[in-house]
Amino acid sequence: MKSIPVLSARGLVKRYGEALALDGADFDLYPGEILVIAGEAGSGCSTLLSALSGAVEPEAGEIRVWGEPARFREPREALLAGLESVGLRPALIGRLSVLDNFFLGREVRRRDVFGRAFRMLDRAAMKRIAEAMLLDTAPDFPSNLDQAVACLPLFDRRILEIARAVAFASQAVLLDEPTVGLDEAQARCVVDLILEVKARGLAIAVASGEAPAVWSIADRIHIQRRGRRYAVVDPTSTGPAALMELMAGRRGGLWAGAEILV
Amino acid sequence: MRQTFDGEHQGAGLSAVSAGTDRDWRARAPLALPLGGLVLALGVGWSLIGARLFAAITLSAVLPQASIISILALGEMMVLLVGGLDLSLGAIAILSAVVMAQLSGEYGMASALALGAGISVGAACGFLNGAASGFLRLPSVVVTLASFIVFDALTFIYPRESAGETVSVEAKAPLLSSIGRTFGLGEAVFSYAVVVAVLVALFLAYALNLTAWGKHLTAVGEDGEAARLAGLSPALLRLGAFVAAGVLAALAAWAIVGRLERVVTTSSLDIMLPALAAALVGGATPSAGRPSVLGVLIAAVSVTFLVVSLRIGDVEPHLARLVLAVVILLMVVLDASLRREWKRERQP
Repeated sequence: MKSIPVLSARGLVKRYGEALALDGADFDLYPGEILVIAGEAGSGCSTLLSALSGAVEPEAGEIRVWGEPARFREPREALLAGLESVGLRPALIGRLSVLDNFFLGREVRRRDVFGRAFRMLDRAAMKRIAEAMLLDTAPDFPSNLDQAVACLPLFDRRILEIARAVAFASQAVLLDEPTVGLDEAQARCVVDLILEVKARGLAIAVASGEAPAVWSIADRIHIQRRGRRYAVVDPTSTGPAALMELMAGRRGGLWAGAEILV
Repeated sequence: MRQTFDGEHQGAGLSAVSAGTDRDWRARAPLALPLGGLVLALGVGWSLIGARLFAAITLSAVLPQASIISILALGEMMVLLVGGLDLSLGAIAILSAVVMAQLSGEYGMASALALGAGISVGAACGFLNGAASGFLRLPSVVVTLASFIVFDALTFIYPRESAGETVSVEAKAPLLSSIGRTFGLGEAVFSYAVVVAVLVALFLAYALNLTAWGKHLTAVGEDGEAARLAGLSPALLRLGAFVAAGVLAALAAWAIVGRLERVVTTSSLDIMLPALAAALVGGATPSAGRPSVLGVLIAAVSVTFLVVSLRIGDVEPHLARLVLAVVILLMVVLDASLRREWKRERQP
C-alpha cells in the first residue's frame, strides 16, 4: 500500500496476571500520518502504546522500526530510537521546574571547561532551546520556565509533555488519550498541536477511545478489540457511529459503507 | 477514565488542579525547620548547662563533632533524596575508620594509601547497599538494617586484638591525622575537619543544583516510574546515591580518625542517630521540597549542640539516644503526613 512503516509490530502478547491485555496485536504506523487507535476500555490500546514505547516489555511478538527488528526493554531504548511518547501515567516531576522537566534525561552541558570537567549545565542554552520549542509549539504556555511543575494546571502539564515529545522525537510520537480530562477548548488545542506535529513530517499515533474531535483528524483509524487489531478503516468513509459499532465488535450494518483497509 | 490492568487509576497523577510545592510550608521555607531545631537545641542545652553552653570548651567539642555529623548527614541526604533510608552509614564510617587506622598503624601502610583503602571500603559498602535496594528492589530500610549489623560485626572481627574496643592510629600517619589538626582564625580555633565538611557541602550543593545528576536523583526520589518513563534508569541512580553516601561515610571516618587518633568500635550508633536526625530535620526527604544542603548543615550543628550539652549535663547516654530517636520518629511522622497530603492533592 504505502512505503515501509516507521513503526510496526506483529503478534504482541502481554499479560497482567490473569488478564490478557495484548493477544497477538499488530500495528503499523506509516511516515507522516496521523493514526488514531480507537477501542473500548480494556481493549489493549494503552498496553499497545506502552509496549511500543518500552514502558512495558511484551512477552511475545516483534517490533520493527523502519523494517529493522527492535527490542525495547526500557523506555530509554525507545527514546534512543527516536520514538517519543506521552502515556496516561505522567512522566513529569512535580518538584522540578518546567525547564528541568523539559530536558529531563537530555540536559545540555556547557561547552567550556566547566561543562566538560565539572559537568555543569548550560541553563542559558536550555532556556533558549525550550523557549524556541515549547513556546513555538504552544504559544499559550505560561512563559515562566522556572516554575515548579506541581504548580501547573493539568492542561499545561499535558501540553508540556506533548511539546517535550515533539521537540525530541526524530521518527514518531505516540500519544495515549491526550484529551482525557480536558474541556472542549483545551482538547481543541491538543488537536491543533497534533496537526502541527504532522505538518512537521513526523508520524503520530494517538490512542483515543471516546474523542470524535481526534477521530476527525485521523488519516487512518486502527480499531483495537480484545487485545488485537480488529480493523483499520478510512475515516472519510467511516462515521463515528460506524466506529462505535466496530469497536463493539459488530462488523455489520452501519459499518457496511466503511472501507476496511486491513 | 480507564483502568489499567495493574489496578492503578490512570491519569490520576495529572488531575490535580494546582497542587504541591507552592502550598507546602516546608518547600516554601526550607530553613524554617532546621533553624527552629537550632533554637530548640540551644534552649535545651541552656536549661541543662546554662552559660557553659557557649564556653570555649563546649564549642571546641561541638565543632569537630559537628563536622563528622555533617559529613555523615550529607551522606544520608543523598540516600533520602532518592527515596531510601540508610541505617548503616555509621557502621560504614566506623568500619572504614578501623581499616584506615589498622592499615597505617598495624601494617605501617603509607597514610595516603590507608586513606584510599578506607574510602574504597566505604564505596564498596555503599555499593552493596545500593545494588540490593536498586537492582533487587528490596526496601532500603531492611537492607541497611542487615548491612548495619554486618558492618558493625566486621569492625569487631577485623582488628587483630579483637578483645579491645579501640584501635589506635600511629602518630606517624601524617595525612590521616592532618584532618584533626587545628588552625587559628582570630580568636577561634578550627580543625581541618571543618574545612573538609564545608568543602563536601559546597561540592554537593553544586552537584545537586547545577548538574544533570542532581536533577535525576531528585526525579527518582519523587517518582521513580516517571523518571523511568522519561528515560532515566532509577536503579543506577539509586546505586549512585548509596555509593556516594558510602564515600561520604568514609570521609567522616577520616575526620574521626584524625580527631581521636583512635577508633572506638562501639560508637557507630552514636554517630548514626545524630546524622540521621540531622538529615531528616534538614529537609532531605522527597516530601520536603528541594534538597537543602544548608538546612542539613544547620540541623547537624543543632543536633551536635544537643548531644554535647546532654553529655556535659551528665544525662545518661541511653537517655540521649532516646531523645534522638524521638526526634527521628517525629520527623518520619511529619514526612509521612506530608507525603499523604501530597498524594491526596494529586488525586482527582
